[in-house]
Amino acid sequence: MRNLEQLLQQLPEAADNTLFAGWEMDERHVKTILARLERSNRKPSRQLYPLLAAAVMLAALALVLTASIPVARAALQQVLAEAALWVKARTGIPIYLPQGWPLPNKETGTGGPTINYYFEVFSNMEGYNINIYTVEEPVPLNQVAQLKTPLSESQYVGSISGKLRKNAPALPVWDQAKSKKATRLELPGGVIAYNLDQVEVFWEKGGWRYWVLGHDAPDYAEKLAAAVGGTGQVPKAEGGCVRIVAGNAVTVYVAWNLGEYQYELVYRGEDIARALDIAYSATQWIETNMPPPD
Amino acid sequence: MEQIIIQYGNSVLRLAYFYLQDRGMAEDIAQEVFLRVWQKLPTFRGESDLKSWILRIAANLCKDRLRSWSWRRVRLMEEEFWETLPVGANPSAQTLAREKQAVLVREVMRLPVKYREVVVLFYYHGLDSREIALVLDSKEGTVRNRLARARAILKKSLLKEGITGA
Repeated sequence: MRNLEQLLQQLPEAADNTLFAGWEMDERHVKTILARLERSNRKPSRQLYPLLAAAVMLAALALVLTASIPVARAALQQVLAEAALWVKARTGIPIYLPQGWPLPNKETGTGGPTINYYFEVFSNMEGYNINIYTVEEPVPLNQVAQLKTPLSESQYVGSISGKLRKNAPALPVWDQAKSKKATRLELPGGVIAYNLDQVEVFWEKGGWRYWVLGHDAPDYAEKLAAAVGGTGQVPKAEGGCVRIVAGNAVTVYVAWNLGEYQYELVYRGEDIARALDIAYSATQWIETNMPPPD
Repeated sequence: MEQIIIQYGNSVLRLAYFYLQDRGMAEDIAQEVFLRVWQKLPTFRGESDLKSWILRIAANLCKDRLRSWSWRRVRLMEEEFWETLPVGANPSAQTLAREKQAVLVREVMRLPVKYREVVVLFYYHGLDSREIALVLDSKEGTVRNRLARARAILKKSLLKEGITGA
């Protein structure tokens, strides 16, 4: 059996010599794939239509539990609080909300088009999740049937969630990644990070773990390290992790532990410092926090 | 994304080939794999490492393809392919090792898919049984059993082919 094992250890060399000689993922392949990705960004894949339809149907089922709350640009903060009120009636865990959610840059000037947010809220006794989308017309919370067109990935701007803390670490991949052949990378503020294949960069500081994944990972890691150095941290958090995934869009995840609970803020966008500011502004919501209606 | 394709492209191509035994189809699958990676990357939560996650997408797409009617039709026409993989009848001492390797590859490719995939992921891609279980969405014990069974089949077939060292 030892001889067989020795022979099988030669499988990579054997296969490369016989099956794969002269066959590589070359520049032509990479360009073809990238062109296809580019095309897929321009229009939703037809394969996604059944999934979108299913999502709409599922969300429609949630209508029996919905509250009728109008969502408009000027009242975003109030609607966040009203979403919290909706959640509070259905969950047993403390709710944390950021102090605000900045409008997209192009919408901050006066006279621009009005932007509306649609809130998709899920909750049970073990947790809650508030997904936020931009929409053309105001639509009440969870009233997906009133949307003129199905929600698309490009409308998603972020989420706020809380759940009972599980024993599993926030990033199980951490130990695996550290054991591999990662190279050292010095980031702003003297942060020493590890760079794995230019695709993953990770480091640890002050009870927080940072992990950047995707294209241009070292560049995003540099931006993240600079942003972390310039901002505070979630009040009272017992450590957490910040994760950036750069795929067809850049998404920043900030998760932190508080007692027996774990919270996460997801921000879709390249402005990492803004994402951290939103997460770090989170405070426990109680009903008296709710601002008065306009 | 380009870096991800460059970094893992060959692994995906080759895993797909081990399943499909056709370069054109493997290249086609590789495109699908990276399209899925692109779409699903924001949902990747790090429960496995990135390579295992990408290989899992590749393995699933390949198995879907193997199950498709059009694929079965194509393979029926090509099932004699592995019979024709050139192996010298009287190899010289200089080429003996290479001939032995060719037989090894041929016998691995003849394994049923459920054994071939664990052998390829273990010996070619260098994953351990826990990582293979993640890629194949299977139990670690099942992976170990299949590896043992695959080795037993290979030992028998290699002996039959005159690889007495096995």
